[in-house]
Amino acid sequence: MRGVAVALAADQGAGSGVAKVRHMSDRTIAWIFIAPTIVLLLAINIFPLLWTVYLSFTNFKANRPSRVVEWVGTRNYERILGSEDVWEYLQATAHFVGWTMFFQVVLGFGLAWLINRQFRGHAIWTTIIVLPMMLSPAVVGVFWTYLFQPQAGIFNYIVNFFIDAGDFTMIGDVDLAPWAIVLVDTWMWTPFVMLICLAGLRSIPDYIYEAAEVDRASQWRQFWTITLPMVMPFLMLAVLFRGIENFKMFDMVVELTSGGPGSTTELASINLKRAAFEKWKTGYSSAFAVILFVTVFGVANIYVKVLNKVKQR
Amino acid sequence: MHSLKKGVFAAALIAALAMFSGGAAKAQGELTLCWAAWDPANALRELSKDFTAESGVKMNFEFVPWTNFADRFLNELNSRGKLCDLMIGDSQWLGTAATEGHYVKLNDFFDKEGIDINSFLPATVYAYSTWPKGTPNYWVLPAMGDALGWIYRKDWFSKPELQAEFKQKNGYDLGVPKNWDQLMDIGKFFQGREIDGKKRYGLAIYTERGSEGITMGVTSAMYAWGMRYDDPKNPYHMEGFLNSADTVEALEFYKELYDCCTPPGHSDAYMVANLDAYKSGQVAVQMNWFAFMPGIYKDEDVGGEKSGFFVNPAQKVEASTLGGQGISVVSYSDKRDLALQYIKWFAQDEVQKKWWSLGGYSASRAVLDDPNFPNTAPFAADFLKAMNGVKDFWQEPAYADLLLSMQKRVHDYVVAGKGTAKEALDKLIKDWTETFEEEGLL
Amino acid sequence: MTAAAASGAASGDNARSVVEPSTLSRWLAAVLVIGYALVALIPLVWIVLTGFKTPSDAIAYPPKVTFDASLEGYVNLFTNRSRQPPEYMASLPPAETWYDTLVRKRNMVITGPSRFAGRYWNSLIIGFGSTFLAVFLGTLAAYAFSRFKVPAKDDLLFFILSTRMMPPIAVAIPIYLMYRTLGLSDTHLGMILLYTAVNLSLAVWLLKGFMDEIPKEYEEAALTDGYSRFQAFWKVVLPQAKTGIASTAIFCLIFAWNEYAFALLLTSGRAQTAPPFIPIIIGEGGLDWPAVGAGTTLFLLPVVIFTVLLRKHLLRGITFGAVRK
Repeated sequence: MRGVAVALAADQGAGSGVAKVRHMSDRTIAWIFIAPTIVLLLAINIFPLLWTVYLSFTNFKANRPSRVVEWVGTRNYERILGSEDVWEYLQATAHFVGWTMFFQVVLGFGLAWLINRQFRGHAIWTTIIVLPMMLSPAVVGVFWTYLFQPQAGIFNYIVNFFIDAGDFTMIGDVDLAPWAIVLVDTWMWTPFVMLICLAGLRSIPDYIYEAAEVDRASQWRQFWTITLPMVMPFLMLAVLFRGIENFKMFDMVVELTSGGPGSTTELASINLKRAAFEKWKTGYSSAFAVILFVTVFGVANIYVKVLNKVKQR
Repeated sequence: MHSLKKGVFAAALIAALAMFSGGAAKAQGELTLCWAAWDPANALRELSKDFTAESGVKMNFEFVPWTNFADRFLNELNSRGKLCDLMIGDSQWLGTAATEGHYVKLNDFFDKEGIDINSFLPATVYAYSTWPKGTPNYWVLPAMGDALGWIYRKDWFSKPELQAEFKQKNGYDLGVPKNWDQLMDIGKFFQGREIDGKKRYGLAIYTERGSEGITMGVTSAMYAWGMRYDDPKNPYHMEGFLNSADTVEALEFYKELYDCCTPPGHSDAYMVANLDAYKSGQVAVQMNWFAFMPGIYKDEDVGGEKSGFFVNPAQKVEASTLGGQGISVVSYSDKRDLALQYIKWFAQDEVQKKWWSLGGYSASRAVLDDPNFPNTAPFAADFLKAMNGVKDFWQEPAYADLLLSMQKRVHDYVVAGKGTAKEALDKLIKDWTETFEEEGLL
Repeated sequence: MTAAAASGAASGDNARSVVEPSTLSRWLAAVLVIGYALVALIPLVWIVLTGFKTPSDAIAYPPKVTFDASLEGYVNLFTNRSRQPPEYMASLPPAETWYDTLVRKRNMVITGPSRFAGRYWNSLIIGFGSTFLAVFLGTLAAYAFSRFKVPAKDDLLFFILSTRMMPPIAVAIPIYLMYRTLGLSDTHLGMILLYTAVNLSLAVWLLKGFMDEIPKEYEEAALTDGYSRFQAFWKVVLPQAKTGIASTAIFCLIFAWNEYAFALLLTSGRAQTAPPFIPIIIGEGGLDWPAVGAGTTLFLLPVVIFTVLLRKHLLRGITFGAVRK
């Protein structure tokens, strides 16, 4: 605070009183500050979104600009909503999102709670745990294919060290592949959930615990009535972020399994990329994109309302 | 924090400078050739040194691995990129490339320079160069003839104890399979067998999901069963052809091969994965493009007399899956004339002969019609045989759609075990019918 | 322990006196956390180690934990090589540099530099460039939202947040068409704008939270002293927002640095960054795992360094703005 006062005193140049005449008004500044952001977002997010919506009603193919483009109404939407394949992709996505959320919450919160015990050196180990988050998901996907190789990879080697599992293939097996992607994503993003929970835990003032001690509440009780409810908003926030990101997941899974075997790990975004940039069915994939966006938007909206209620409690 | 701010400003300055410096303009007297990253590409790099020596034009190469090849370069063409002056694109791109004007039409150039397109193998001219199919409109000069073949460990097949055991088990001599049933016997024989102290497996076949791998593999079986995509009298009508009893049988057979005779983890394998499995001694037999055979023959570990080669076995019909590419001039290039010069140079007989000697499968009749050709390499005779019976996938402008649908349906069945072969093919017909309807062909 | 606890309680300061966990529970926590950290570290350590293996060691079965270190991975990462017949190799003049010698041992010659250095450079330009721009614009907008009555403020803020909900592939479709028309395909400018726009939502949101934390009294004091609003912003608020800006910058950088989908779809030869490049470094057989390992290690370094230097801000950044609406 003193530093600020000194800075102000040293810089007395403007003189007192009528500042408005010589300087821009608040309103002007507000608009100048906000305008670039809004313009950029309109140009790169909103205008393209509107264009996508328009395209979703056509049969446009981006690699065939010379072809006549026709308006097809809701045909793309009907095809998507009526397709069993699409429901399978959404199911694969839901399985992925659901289980990664579960494991990341359990592990993330658990780690945060343990780190909050503040044992010696916890800061260093926290930094180490955070490392996987710093990697590029695409690169993570590709080197986990190496780790999962049945012969040359260490995953099988280590697992077989503990139990005799034979020659299994995490990413080639129809039953194991969906778990392989859950495993890798959990490895990468548990630290993120952990950090958020840690922030939440640290924000709980001590006096609340002290009061509980005075009331002779047991550790267990304290946990359920104080810790958990106060961390809950943070936890829900972490779930919101990770949930949205995992619903959109593309790079890690495409490098790890290519959506295989078959289509067991073909998430919504992977199919979207194939439809849009390999088959070049631009109109169709625009409709799919709109459906996905509306789904995320709708669910996020409801979730945020619930989150706000929880925060108010 | 001051240093942070400075660092950030420095970064911003660098970024700003870079933004406005744009891409460096290519120097005159330079060409960029785009192809896939594999052995023949390295051979072409070598061969092109002659062109540089003769013309003074520097050759740059952009080689991208097969798994990303189509994605990357189709994207490049669609964005009208100027990266590539010359493109050796896949044969299936022809329809799109011709209709959308990505390639420069070569008819006038051929006439002017006296290049006779018929000096190239007719099968390759038909498949790589003409669009609409079979009409005298040429967009491409056949550069690399290729087909799907097979490579096996001749040294293992020659072991007397294995020969004896095989003969006793199956009633015929262990050797090059005459049909797919024999291929499966061989696969089962080697699966899990210990040879020289290590566990080995039978076959490395194509199972790749992402680009085109499993389709290429499966069609080599289907063609051998005599599959036709559609009714010859009624184009694009596939019912009864694509899902005929024979085709269903072929697909089931391929799945059986995958289940019984492949190494663990071989669920997403294409060219390099098969090469790896073979070279590391994991499998006795691999399916792969003829393009790789020169490299195998020269290999330190499995080359020379250790490896043998054979053409795709027949079951009901002799047929092989067509590979190969042709070279074309990208119409968005700023250096069309220079690029055409390269094509003119490449079309010469002597250059084609040297191309073959370096490991590139020339499609020129000057090379292939030579009576001595079958003796020039252990796989040469099989190559000729293969090229006589090649069948290609669709080349329609919508080919990507068709290919990716087949990738999904076939991988779902063969690798993921979903449904039956007939169901997979029925679903495929449904997918393709939808595509053809959208294209206005049905 | 008890004496300290007692004195803490007695002095009434905010030390976790009464609620301090017991030594035993601390030990247990340490064991579990360190255990997790070590297990989680194994894949990372393995890939870094792989960067120092020879290609054949990398695919050895069973996996080699001890091996002879080699720089082949790094050399392979930065060069293109081609295999030559032994006669040709014998005819060459002796190798001059250590990497030439290394490559020649395998009967190969270096034909030129690979694209990795260029991709890395692109990553630096696009990553840091878009981070700078996002933080710059974000700070301005966040300040405005925090301090001024902006019409439809809540709606605008939600709109900004919702731009993050589209899958990148979906956004890429129209951007691809747009950039193709505008000639921004495969340009640094195009990618910087795109990443900035994507990062802006997070940046504005986080920074607004930080700005909200800074008491308005300081600026009001400055304003009554005759400072213009802009000067108040520049001299009073900004320095106090340093922490928030730093942590926002970390998040923006991590995103832009590691991004794959847009780089894959919208760039090709000129402006492509490293993430689409590293997964396709093919050696003579399959992927050149030592080169992939080397590439991963080198690519990880700037982000790790940046984050470790600013790790304290990372924690603050996650909480603010996020929880406070």
